[in-house]
Amino acid sequence: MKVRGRITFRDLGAGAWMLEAEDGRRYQLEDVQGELLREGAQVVVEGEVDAGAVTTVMAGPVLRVRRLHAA
Amino acid sequence: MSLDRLTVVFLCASVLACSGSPGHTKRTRTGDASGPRIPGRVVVDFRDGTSAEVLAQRAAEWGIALRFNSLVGPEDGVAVADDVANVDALLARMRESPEVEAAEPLFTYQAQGWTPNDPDYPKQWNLRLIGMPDAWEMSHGKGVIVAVLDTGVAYETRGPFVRIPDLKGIRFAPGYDFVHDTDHPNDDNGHGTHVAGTIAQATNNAEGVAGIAFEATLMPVKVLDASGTGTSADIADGIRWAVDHGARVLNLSLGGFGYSRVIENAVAYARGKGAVVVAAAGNHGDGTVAYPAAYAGAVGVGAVGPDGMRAPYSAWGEQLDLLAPGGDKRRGDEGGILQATIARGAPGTPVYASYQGTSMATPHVSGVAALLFAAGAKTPGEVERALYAGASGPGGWTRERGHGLLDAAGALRALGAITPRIDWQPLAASVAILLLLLLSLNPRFRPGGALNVLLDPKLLVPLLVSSVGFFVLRIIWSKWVGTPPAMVEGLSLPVPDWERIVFGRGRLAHPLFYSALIPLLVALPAMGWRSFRPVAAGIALGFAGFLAYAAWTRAPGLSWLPFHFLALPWLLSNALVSALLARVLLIRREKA
Repeated sequence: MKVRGRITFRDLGAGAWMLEAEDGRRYQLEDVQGELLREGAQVVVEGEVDAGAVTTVMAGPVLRVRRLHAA
Repeated sequence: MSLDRLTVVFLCASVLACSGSPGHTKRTRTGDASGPRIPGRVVVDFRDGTSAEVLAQRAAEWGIALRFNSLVGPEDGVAVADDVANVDALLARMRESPEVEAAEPLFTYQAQGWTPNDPDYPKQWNLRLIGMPDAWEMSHGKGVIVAVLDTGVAYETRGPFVRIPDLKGIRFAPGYDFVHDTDHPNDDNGHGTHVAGTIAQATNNAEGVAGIAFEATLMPVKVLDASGTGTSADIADGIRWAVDHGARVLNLSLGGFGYSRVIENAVAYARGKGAVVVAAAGNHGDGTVAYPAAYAGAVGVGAVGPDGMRAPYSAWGEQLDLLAPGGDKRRGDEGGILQATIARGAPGTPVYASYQGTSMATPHVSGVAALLFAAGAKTPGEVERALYAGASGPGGWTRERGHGLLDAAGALRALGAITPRIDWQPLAASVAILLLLLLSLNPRFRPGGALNVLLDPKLLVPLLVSSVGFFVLRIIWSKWVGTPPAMVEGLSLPVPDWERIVFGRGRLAHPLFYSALIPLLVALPAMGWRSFRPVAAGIALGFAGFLAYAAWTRAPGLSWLPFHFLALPWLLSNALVSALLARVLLIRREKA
């Protein structure tokens, strides 16, 4: 799947980078690093939701990232 | 009063204890503000929502410096002023102001309960919010195994990992790392160590911060990787493994949004095996509870901030069971939960860190569950009922607050009320000892058959009171008077436990009370006073049964004994002395 949205850090549990998608959904980004992970960055993410994943952050479904690029 | 009459009173009281009680509505007893004043300081309660500007304006008018008392000051309007020259004159002026609801001299309150000496304990608003000082008077969670299914725990110094200093002295059960499949569930994230700290940080060690059940045994079970993420397979495995290795409380500060039959079955398995499963409601802030908290067998925990209101991130809904402090850092780190852990990305570096989340709320409930098991709860059902009955709030369950805000002291008191602990086994042990004694006596000296001896009220009542307790007293008190005071609670217990009247609950038993000393003292007057002998014999028999049963169940540790292994021989030898004493007192002698 391909999602467009805004990067934000949630300081919850162990803390994680999240994607606030344009449709209002929130995803916890996994398998990703790089300089696009900064507060407010507008991005396009390609990847798959891992419905079985369990995390300490619990602020939205885990999105395993294949590609991340600036919007 | 004759001893036979005493029996009648005892029996009447039992019958009365079984009937109903009138209701009671509590009203405040008002009076003049009084107490030990702190010189030169006043406290003002402004109307809720009074702004900082109005506060500054009034302060200028009154010629004093005013500041909000705490983080929640801007909401609840409580402010204090220092260095006031004429307190009474100032109070009179303050009370004329329309924004002021109340103004009075600042009083000191004697801290109720027990306060640990950890230097940063004053920053742990969360522990006071759930009534820990009172709860610590009752239980420290001794010996209960609490499994922390998380990113691991910084429990051993090995390779790049360390045991952090504020976990020194805490007992650990062997754990497992399901992520790397090793026997060393070290923490490579920091989350698991933080969570473990809330449950059982080293407490009263003059270092760092405190934890709730610091005499519990922690079992680190690593099911989440260094980024804090895990799979349903590892979590299900971890749950089953922990329960099979003796865990009574499972802390799951984790969650996801996909239903998993495998995890639901594991949760049901754990509860079936007698463990309480506590899980985080989730941090997505809406009305659906995350898994595994949403499974029927789990206790789902939402989070509150320092003001006791549900934190904005906390989930709520149909499967929410309790709220507990999870922190709210919108006003800074002091609104979070402070525990010792390791630095992010540096598993060898101990730090104190403030976290927030339902992850942080969950271990508060797990810690209190451990206190409840240590205080005598036998099943997960008993623990959950006590947690819910003791929770503070308007009462009743709601989707927004579950059963209310966790209250450790309330839960422990509720446990006593739910399960008035009448333990009959020591009486059975006493009767068995009596039978052995009668068999050991030559028929010429036997005082009669076992039933004859037992049914003599002069022997039966002292026997009951010393082995089972004068339990009727507590039942009557709770029915007609209210919550029984400590003295009544103490007197309701078997005589050896009356030490709690002197030394308080939750500590180790006192070896002089758990000994033949009291039966020996009672037996002294019986030397010359023949008709008192059955009473002394009843007490000696009761003690023999009680001490033998305590030894049999390996029940209490004994204070003041330097080594744990001495407790058992102490109990057995004193049970023997009590039994021999009973034998001497029971021997039938011809009248002189």
